[in-house]
Amino acid sequence: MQWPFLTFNIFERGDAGVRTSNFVTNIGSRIDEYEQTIGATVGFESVRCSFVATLEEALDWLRNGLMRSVVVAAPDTETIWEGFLETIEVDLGQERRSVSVAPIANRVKARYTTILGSSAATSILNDTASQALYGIKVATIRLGVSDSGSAANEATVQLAFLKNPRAVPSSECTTAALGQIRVTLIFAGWYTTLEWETTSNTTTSTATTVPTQVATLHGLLANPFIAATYASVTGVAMTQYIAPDTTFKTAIEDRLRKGDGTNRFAWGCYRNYSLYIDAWAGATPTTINYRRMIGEPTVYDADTKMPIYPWNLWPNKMYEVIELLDVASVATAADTAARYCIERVVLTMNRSGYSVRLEPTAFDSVDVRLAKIEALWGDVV
Amino acid sequence: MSTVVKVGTLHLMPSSGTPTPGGDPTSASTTPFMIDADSNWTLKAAENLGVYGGGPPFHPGSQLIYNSFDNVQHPTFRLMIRGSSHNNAVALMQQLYQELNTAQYSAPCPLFVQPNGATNGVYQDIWSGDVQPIQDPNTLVGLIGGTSDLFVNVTLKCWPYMSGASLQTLLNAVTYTNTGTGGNNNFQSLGSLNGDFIKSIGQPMRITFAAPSTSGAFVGYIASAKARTYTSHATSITTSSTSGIDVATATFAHPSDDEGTSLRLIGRFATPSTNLEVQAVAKINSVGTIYTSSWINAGTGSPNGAYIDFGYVKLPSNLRRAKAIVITCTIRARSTNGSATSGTLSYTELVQYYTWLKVTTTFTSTGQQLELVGADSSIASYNREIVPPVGWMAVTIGGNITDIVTPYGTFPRAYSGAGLYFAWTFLGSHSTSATFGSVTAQQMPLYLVARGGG
Repeated sequence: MQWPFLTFNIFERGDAGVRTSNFVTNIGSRIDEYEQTIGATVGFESVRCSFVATLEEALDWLRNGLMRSVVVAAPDTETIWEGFLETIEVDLGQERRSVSVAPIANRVKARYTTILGSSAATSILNDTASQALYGIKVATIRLGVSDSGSAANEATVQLAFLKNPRAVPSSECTTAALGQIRVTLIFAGWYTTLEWETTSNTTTSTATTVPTQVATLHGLLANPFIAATYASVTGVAMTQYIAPDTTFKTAIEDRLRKGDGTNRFAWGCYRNYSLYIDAWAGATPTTINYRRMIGEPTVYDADTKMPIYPWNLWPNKMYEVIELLDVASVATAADTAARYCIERVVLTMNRSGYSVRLEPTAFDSVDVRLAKIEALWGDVV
Repeated sequence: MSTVVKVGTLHLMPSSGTPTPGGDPTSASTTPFMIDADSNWTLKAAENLGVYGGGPPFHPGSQLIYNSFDNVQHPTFRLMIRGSSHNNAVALMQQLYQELNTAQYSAPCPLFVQPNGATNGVYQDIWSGDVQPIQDPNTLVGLIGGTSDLFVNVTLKCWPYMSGASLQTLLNAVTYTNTGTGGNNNFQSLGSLNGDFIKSIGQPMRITFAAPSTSGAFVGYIASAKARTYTSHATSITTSSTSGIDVATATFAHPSDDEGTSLRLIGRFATPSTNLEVQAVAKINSVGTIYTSSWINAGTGSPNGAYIDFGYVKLPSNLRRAKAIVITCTIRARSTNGSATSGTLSYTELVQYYTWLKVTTTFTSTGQQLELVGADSSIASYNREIVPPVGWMAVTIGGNITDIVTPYGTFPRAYSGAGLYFAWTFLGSHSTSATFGSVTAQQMPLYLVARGGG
């Protein structure tokens, strides 16, 4: 079989950064380095790809590329990744240029403590020109003790500084060969955009986290980047209170992390630009989804016994190596000698071939885990 | 007949066997160029770049996962340039260099080679040509010495494959009616093919579809396929079940030796309700489930019928080579909301395919064509790649591009014994009233080396 090409369809950015169906190009066969990640609590997470280009192509990407959307399709047409172009890097011999929407903020306010010790905030400042290009991206500047006028001035200054894409250029003058013109495109999954807006809620009564509260929060988003939410699980009752200036990502994850009261959930933005919330596969660790024999380069579906293409491997699956099958393992343990629950899938493709890294949940000490949870609860209070 | 070697418009071998000093290089009888026989020059075949996986220490031998080929650098040959004067010789050398290196300026220069005694020659796109002046071996003078005879070493870096002179027409203005059965149904044989790769990686195609007069959003499904099983069902669907009911089953006898194919599951539904969802479940010999599709809405936007692509199954190699396998595909249906839903399963298609492509575009006026260009026919004009590194698709009127088409999947390639599968929807509906009346499918025969007659 011929080496398979991924279809890498790029679409123009619409007003306010929205997706369009205006096809720009398919760069699938131009790419010579490709890496994509999919995470169990993110969904489509990141894509990094690079290709050799002409100067004109490189300049076009730098000038017009930010917020273009991408749909990556497998050779058999199924969508394997979706996202938007967050950062563009161009190597021009000894010069490097880049632009990125990651550091942008075009809706800014400052939160400060008055001289009397109470919490206060400036009015919201908008740069509508930036919002018209990239969508709404919020930043809350946290000041110490201040007066309203000074805080407002600082917010104005920060808005002017943050409203446009930032660059990370570098220049070198050496005697080495200049090298090629290479374009590197870094895409982020649509889940990232949940960090772009903030919300709050003074209601303290409880409601079910999933689907109710998550669906409500999705409905409050101003940016239309995430089309819908789908939940195959039901959460628990939780206060609806959300502290001021909490990002939607934090607010939603606060609720999702409660799981069903017994086990955690898995979630993320996947196909059709939608947020999916599912049961964690590690809750039923003896239900194996993927199997592999060490001597073979292929992962098989444990249920159908059919081979799975590397680009169709997903996180939140139980993975087992046949040669390491456990003897008398703990039935409730997600991670054993032979199996673990996949937290992240990293697919790399280049001229040498491909590799897939199936990563388990990152190991943290109990102290670190407790510290993380405490920090999050601190934001709510 | 003598060996013919051309780069673009320039002949590198005189038909008389002797180069003409200061002659016209565009004519074989008067060319001033000649490849030195002592070079023993021959075309180099592109080397196979197989990607292998697995192997020691866990398993003896690695498995071939994918095949491909990289650019080929032909052996360097020594070329004599006979000028009428020193200035003329230098001008001829410059003309040669310019001709060889047009890839970044206009299009790659084509190399043409037809060995002595061969009926057919081959073409190959030249990415770059290196021309290195060397001394005359007889007089030990060269460019510096002011001689009217120059010798250069020429090294050509080329696209991996050589191609025939023109595209081979496999389907000529045939009609596709968007129906599963009948004389002009969705699957039509490509017939016999020429070329070295018809039983390995396949060969690029150029397909032109003359669009019907219907305007609107178009989604096309184009595949190079080995076989297709069409099953007429005409099964009425009536249910309010939200868990799903079985509607009908089709079977496919999968041959045991088809490593390069996958099985695509297709269902056509008439008058589906907007709350109808459908699913396909594939089993081996009606027992072991090997594939379960997601539930797909058949009704929304499909008043004239729905074409549902349920996805594909790819059997593992060890299973495929064991014995013939019967695959059963069961179509299931359910209501999205518990209210009564209905529709009719018209037919199913189980397509054993090599490549599958989905294209989306919008037809806006009559006279439009959908062009899929994986290879070009205009070799004689030397104005574009014979086989574009990147295939392209566009909607055209009178040869002028009016819209670029968005592709998903793999461009069709021609294989021995294959056929062209083509089905489509307009405005979301699978209508059979608008046909593609003129579909022409061609393939470019590819070769690894210069050939004789075949």
